[in-house]
Amino acid sequence: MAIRRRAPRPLPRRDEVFGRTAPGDGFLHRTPAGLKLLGLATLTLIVLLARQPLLSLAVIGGLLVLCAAARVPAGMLLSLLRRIWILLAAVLAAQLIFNDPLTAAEVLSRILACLLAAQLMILTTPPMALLEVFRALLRPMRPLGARPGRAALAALVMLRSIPYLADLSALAGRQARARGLERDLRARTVPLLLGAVAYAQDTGRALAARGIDDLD
Amino acid sequence: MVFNSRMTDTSPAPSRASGSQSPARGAARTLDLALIGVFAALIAVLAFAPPIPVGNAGVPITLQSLGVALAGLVLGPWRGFAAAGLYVTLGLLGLPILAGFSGGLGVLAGPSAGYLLAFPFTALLAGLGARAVVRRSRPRWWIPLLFLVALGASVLCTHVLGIAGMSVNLGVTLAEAFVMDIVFWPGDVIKSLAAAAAAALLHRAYPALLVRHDRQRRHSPAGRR
Repeated sequence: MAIRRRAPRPLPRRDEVFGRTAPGDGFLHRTPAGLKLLGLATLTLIVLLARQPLLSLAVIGGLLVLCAAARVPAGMLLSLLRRIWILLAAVLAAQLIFNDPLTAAEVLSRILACLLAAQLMILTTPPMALLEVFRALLRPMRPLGARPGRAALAALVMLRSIPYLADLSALAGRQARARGLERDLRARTVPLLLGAVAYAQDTGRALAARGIDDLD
Repeated sequence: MVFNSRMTDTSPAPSRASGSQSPARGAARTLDLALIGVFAALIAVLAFAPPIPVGNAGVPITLQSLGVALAGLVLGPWRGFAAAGLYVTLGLLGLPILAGFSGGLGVLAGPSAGYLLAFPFTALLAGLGARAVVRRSRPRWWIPLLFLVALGASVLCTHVLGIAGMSVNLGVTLAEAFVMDIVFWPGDVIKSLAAAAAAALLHRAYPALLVRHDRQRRHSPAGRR
């Protein structure tokens, strides 16, 4: 008497957070992360201070050229607009209510230029390289009480727990829906919060058991 | 328990008088570190969640600031500040962990720059209030008091800096930015209430989470930091 088991229901695909680096090996991929960060900071500062719509538009054009030159798929760069379109629509509405069209164009082009520049850097830089930069930036602040080693370890713990917590959050949402409580914020957050604290305690014990408690 | 096994099974037990860190202190420090990292991740995960409809009216709200309030109310001032600060710093450095999977310094040009920069200070303020509430008042007053703390921190910090940021980045006056900010108020009240209820529950379930350091200092001989 063979028991036929029902095929398991496929789990919803969780949001891929760190699979978002563009494939390829263009020159932007090979540039060191620190250099890219410096370039991004300079560009953002110039665009923010100049506030010229023509300059902002030129930066957007330049970014698209750079994107093509580094062989990053343009779709990946522009998919940012799809993810934040609500924000952009709110900005546009506020501008049309409070400001004249010229100012509206200036504000929108400035925001788009900065966001797209940051997105291009994200697409070509692996997270671990950014953590190295984070650690290097903290090192000169050691006399002020910064602990680069501990901060980098906390950042690693954060990266590691994001997928776990994302799964837990989806699970809590489904449990709340099964109880008919999908509009109750408490039913969604309390399981997530309890799971987060338990996970932190496990991680803390695991670190202590390995003797990782005396970092600079 | 971990420390006990460690001290009994190895022959030379680490001497406490030699000036090295005791195992219990080390475990407390790794727990702090793990809590900071995990709560920074919690803020990120809540920021990724799409806006959910809440209440009878079904107003859609985003949950990012709920994570910030929870970090302050649950972890206290310094660890809460560290968790929110880690989230904001790594987001600005370029990890795609801010709302809408964006990130990088370019966010500073956007309309939400002020809100984002305010997050660590909101957590600090909420943590200061929460520590006083949990130490001084009876547990049945925790939910209303923590609600006031969370709402106060959000109004004094998040909204003030958020309005200033919108005024600068969107080219509008402070009064106009204030009008735009009003949209967030109902959601803020709901989120503060949810954060207060969850934090009160958590402090009952884990009483050592917020007051442990204080108690340890009182029972240990003076001079050991």
